[in-house]
Amino acid sequence: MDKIKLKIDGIEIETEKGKTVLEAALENGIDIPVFCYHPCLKSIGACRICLVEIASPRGGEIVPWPKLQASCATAATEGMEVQTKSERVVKARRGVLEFILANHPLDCPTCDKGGECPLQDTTFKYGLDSSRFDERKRRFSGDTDSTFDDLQIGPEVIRNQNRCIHCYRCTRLVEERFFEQDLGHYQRGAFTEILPPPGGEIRNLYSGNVVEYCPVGALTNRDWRYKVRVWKTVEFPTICRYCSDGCNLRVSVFRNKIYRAQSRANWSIDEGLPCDLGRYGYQFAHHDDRLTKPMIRKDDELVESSWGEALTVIKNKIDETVKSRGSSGVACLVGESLSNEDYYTIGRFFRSVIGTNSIDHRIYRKKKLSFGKDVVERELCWNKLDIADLENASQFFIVGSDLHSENPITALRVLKAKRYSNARIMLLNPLPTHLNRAADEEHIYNAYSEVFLLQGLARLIVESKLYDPEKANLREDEAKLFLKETAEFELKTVSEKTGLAPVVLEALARSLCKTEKTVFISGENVRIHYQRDPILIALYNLAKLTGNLNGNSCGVLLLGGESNSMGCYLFGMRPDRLPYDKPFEKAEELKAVWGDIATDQPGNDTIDILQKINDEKIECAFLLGLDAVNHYPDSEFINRTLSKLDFMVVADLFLTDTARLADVVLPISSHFETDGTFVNWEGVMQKYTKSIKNIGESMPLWQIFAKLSAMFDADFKFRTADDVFRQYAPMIGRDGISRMATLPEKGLRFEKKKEYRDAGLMAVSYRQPSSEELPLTVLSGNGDHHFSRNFSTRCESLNNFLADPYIAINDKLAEDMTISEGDLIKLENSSGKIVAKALIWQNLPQDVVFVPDNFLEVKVNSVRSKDNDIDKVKLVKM
Amino acid sequence: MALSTESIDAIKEAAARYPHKKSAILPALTIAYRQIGYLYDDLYIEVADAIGVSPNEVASAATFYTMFPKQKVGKYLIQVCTNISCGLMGAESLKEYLLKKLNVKEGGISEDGLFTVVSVECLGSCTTAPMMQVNQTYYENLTKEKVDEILNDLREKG
Repeated sequence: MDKIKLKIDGIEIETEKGKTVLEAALENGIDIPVFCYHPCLKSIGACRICLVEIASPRGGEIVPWPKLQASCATAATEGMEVQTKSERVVKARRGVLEFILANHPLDCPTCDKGGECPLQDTTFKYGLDSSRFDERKRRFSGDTDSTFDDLQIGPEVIRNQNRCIHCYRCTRLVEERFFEQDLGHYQRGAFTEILPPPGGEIRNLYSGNVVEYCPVGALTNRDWRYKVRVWKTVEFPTICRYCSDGCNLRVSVFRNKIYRAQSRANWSIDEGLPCDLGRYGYQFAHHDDRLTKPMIRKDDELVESSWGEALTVIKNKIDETVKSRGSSGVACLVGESLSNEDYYTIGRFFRSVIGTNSIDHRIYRKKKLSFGKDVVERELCWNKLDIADLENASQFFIVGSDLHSENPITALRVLKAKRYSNARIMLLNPLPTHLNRAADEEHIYNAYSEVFLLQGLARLIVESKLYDPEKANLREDEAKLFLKETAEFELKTVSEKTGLAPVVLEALARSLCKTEKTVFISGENVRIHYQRDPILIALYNLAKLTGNLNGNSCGVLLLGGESNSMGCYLFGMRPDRLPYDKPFEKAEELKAVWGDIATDQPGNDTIDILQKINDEKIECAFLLGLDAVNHYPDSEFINRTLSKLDFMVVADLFLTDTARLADVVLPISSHFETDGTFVNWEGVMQKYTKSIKNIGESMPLWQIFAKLSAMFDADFKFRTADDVFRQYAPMIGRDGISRMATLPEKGLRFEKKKEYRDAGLMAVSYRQPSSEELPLTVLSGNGDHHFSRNFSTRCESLNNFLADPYIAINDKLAEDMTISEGDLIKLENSSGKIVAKALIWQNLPQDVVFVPDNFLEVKVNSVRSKDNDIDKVKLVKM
Repeated sequence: MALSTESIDAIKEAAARYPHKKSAILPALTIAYRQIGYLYDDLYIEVADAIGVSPNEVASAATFYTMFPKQKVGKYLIQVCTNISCGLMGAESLKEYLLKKLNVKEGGISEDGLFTVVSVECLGSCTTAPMMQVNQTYYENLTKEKVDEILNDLREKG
């Protein structure tokens, strides 16, 4: 980037060429008031409050520009001299404010924005204390029942048009960044109104941002308004606990209660535009369902007890089991959204105190939990790109991923690349996903035909010699061999199996080879796919053939997962790995701290653990932050297995279906009640802070296990989360990182090599999945505004978007079976059945049904069976 | 469905003429307006469906342009220019005369359902002030007598 020098208010500053005067000033701490400018949006110069006086060199002289300029829309140039506080500027700003205030009601005392309102603050700083405007102010009567002209325009957004100053931040965000169409401006001039389209409401996944970025009180939030005044609250930094993007948030706390969550811009991750899950998803913390006391099963009923009693029961039982079975009689399964401190302490407790390596977190898959050798060899287990890298990619090939609901913030970067550099988005999924609003092409392939699709494309590229041999680093003989090995993926067969026309496949292949810098993104559908490894390798083949293995904005990503899935990997929540992803051979450093640990053989993974529970070889199990009963893809099996356990300890925030089976239930604190760290999918470790006191007697997991360790005479001496961090900090191996406080504010970014090992093309083959002989394939994912289980459905605001479970079916199927929307329908197979209201989706393939996996009234896993690769059902009208 | 198949076809044809579908919004609204006589919320959705854009974009554009009536009007929409030139030449009294003669309020529909009178800003015919526009036709250099004549002609046409 070229650098230029200019003077603002007499201060010499340096900035990049192409930046505006405003950006140059803000970067250097020079304050210029703004209303319509927003760093995430293109400048439109609508509000005029950022006026400045400019002079620039011409012919050796500094010539003043005749008129004041809107600094947000004027590019900074070499040698410019800018005045932001001169008399002329101040006078102009007062004039602008007088105009803005002509129609703005003076209702600050009853306005929810009061106290944090840019207009209020700027008026206080620059404005006149009286107005020359004697006429009546414009008035929009919104909801005629309300004194305040308020109108609810979405589940969580309330509009008061009288206060609007027409900065258009809201409609610009919605259109420019979110690619949505549920908010627009209507009428013209002073009477311009912000409204959703006729008959609609603003309900997109990012809708909360329009409230946060409204510079006045025109858009307010239903949940937060009028509950507490902003100056009474204290803000605490936190991290979102839902998807694996890791948005930075801050929560406003008043008298030990969280009232809202807002963005805390981290430009390399969320750009200050979190989705509604983060914004409203804090509400579970104060839900009535929160467990407040430990519970012990007595006479087949869970009764509340004290911590001392509960931990003693656990200790005695562990001792008993170890005596009769050895330490291998104990196992532990963890959820994917606990903190790294929790994982470290859990790992240390089970490995060093009890002496078992049977720890796992992978409950989402039926078979083959670990990546195979070929995937590891190709370095596909770690995501090598960062969210910010996606911005510079020129093409996205998204397959088997509902990116919009699995990783909304990553999706936002993809959309950014689309908006500002016209990147191509190619969506390939077994069902339509909401990202199709911005996609250049969307193709719906037959469910579970990914291997045919990807390998077929690779073959097509090689066969028609579309690849550049140099970029792809592919020799003639290698290509020939690949063709021979992939004979089963002839274009005709591929077209038949995937349901995509040969011309479509040819066009896809050409498009992949034509464009540089393609990112191949796969998601949850691939993570749980019975052929996950072949799909990843097939994606690698495509990346290799198109020359996308090396570079900053290309490669293969496997997304999905939860807020700390990466932490699970890093902190040894697998039977064969120690913290910091160290193999058993490198346990020396750890042994020095932990004492002796069993490293002769790996423990059992989830599949083995469940099997051994069935065989009565494991008697005592810990399920920590994990609702296995609703998560494991076989409801009948997991229920049967867990009830065979002699002793089960469940630690969770709520009395989940899993906890109901437990012998001891421990209440754990949410991430708002303790310090801790998460690692997002990029591998950025970010810290969150304690914002409220523990709810009831709940404790964070690290503390529970620290207490337990003391009972086993092996006291870890962890009194705070920082104690845990300090113990594992040396393993991070980064200078200066010794305490949680030393973590950089924007997270610790692990250094990554942004290229994959070239391990050559590899032919993978399609394996016919085992399934029942039934007509419909069940696919599941997140419902609108929901994520995972137990948490989002306990947030009132998120339920306002979608509260009820449904089963989505194709319109033709509905017609054939005379099902109309809202009718009760049943899906059944030999594993079980689910009943819910029908929702009719026009573009859903006819042989697929979609069930959101968030609502526990309708458990998708009751029609899943671990013995089948894919789950099929038949549909019955009730 | 309020739009006729001919209108929908015409809208689709218009949409095909532009590289961006959005560009067809105004021509499409004109087609819808010519058929229905005024625009309203549900019609925006129909127009949007016909072009293949979002109702939001159509409604935003339609409400921006005041020349599309948003309420039911008479068969003949009389738009009297009341801007400076016409105003100086007696447009206000001409408008009052029209309203009285047709026995309607501004924006209302006359009893026979034929006429609606509204005042508008400059229609760009200042040299021939005062003037009015009836549907797509300009009537210029108006006098009360001329107005009587025009109204009679229109009534006869029905």
